[in-house]
Amino acid sequence: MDVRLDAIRPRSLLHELEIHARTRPAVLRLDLSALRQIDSTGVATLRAVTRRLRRSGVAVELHGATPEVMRVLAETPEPDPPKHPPEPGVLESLGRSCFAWWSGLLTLADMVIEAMQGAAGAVVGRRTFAWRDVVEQLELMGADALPIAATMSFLLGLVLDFQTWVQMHYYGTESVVLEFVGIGMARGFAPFIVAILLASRTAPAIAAQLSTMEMRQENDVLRVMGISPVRHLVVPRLFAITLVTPALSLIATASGILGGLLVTVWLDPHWMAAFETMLREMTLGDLWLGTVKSVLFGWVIGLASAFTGLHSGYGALSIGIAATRAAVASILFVMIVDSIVTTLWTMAQ
Amino acid sequence: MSSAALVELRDVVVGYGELPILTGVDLRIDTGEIVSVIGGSGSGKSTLLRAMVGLLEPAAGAVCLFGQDLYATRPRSRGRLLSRVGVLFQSDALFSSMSVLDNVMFPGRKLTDLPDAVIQELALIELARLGVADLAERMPQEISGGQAKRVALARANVLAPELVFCDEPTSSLDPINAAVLGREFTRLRDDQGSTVILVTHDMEMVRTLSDRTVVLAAGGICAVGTPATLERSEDLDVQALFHGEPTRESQESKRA
Repeated sequence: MDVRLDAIRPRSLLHELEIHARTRPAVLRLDLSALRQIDSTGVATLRAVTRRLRRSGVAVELHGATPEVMRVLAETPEPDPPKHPPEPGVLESLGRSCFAWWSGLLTLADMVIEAMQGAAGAVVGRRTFAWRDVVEQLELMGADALPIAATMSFLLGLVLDFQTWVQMHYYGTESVVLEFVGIGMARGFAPFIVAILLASRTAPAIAAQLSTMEMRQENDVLRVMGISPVRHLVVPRLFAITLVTPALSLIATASGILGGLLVTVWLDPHWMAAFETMLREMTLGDLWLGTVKSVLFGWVIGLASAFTGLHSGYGALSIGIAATRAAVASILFVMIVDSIVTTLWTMAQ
Repeated sequence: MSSAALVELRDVVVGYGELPILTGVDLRIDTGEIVSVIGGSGSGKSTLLRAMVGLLEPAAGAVCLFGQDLYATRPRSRGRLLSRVGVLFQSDALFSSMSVLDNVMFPGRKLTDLPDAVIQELALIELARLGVADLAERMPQEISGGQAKRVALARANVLAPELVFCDEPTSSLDPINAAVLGREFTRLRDDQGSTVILVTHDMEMVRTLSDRTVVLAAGGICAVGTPATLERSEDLDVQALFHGEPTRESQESKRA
């Protein structure tokens, strides 16, 4: 079969040849005699067509090309198409995933140990520790987050009191609602809401900053000076978050109680009695539990975000991925820690 | 018995993951010389540099700095070894959260017990040497690429290290900035007695500055010598780097 091609337009050429290929000819001759000029797109199209037809058992012959066209065809490099490695089997994929998880876990353990050593070194007075960085981080993590943490917990206390009051009112036990809000905020809600705020605000910021430094080779500069990025960058952030989370948590507790009190004052003529009940029933233990939880939450958020930031890779997407992973991992681990601590505390009572 | 070399690589195999980039690398670099490492793109120049500065552990062999195996020493000792080294990265790698002056003062603050006033003086001297003292208060993002390179060299050199590694120091630099860096490398060798290791593809810099040149090709070192010796080398890889792609005619005329 003879096919004459008058125009080298990749799409129309491909379409026309596919129509001819459907008739399953043994040989397809392409007459290039009308072709005066060919560029890389033309050569690529011809080669792609030829390769595709040959795969389906059709031999392709080129005829009538001018010397100029022949020269371009001959001089254009013809590399082999890339050979994709075979897809790994299920077992191999599983093995690789397990290995990656295991080595990630070991790296995380290394980082945690180094951070603890660094923190201990800083406390016993190593000159090179940058306390200035801790102050800077305190401002970023704490002072800047304070208004939103207070507002969120105030609104949570308000909503909690309102909804519980409506239910309790049916049973005539509305006098314990404020106590419930107060103890609930101190033991769990306030540390949790502060942790969620830090996980969504501070964790991505830490991860993005460390990831950017990794990509810009700033961390390599530290390493070649013999300075550990974990000690220099992660430890100040851990110190800061260890101070910030309990402080914010205590403020959030007070703010949440204020929100609850506002609703109680509005709905309950005997609000003073409810307030006194709350003060009587709340113990230092409630605040202690909240403080312990918030410190643990802070460490979890700090370590998760630092780990994702320092091991984010070098690609253009890595900063975004690191920030997202830091937020997700922080929230997940905060919930796990919360469940464990709450269960252990309740069982111990 | 010869004294310990400043840098010694013994049968080093280095790469990423399971893929070795360089194998069987043996090299000795002594005090007070400028050594250029050249090679085509992907020949392993930057990989070798990363191995020499402690950023990439070799799969086999030993990397020794000042007579000690860099990767066999404990982290603290490795830190002490590396504190005698300055590195200029290809991307300037200035700390973006610090001013130019703070960047240059950083090694002094971290690695010495000197008072801050002395460290600042040292940093300003180094910045002035490289003609960028007037940028001291600027942030890295407020200066040009050439100026950032000069600031990064000032930071690498502020504590007068015995060994200075530079990865593509003149890439993307105009001739004026490249000349400033070239003069500084010569000063480091002649006045400060430092050894400078340049990973570069700037053949002009190789010809004019290097005491010795190491040529990387085909996954290893293919030649070591003075630039003048290598100019006359008949090795095709060396010729390709010094004279561009060698032709069959040039090969035949050389043989004749």
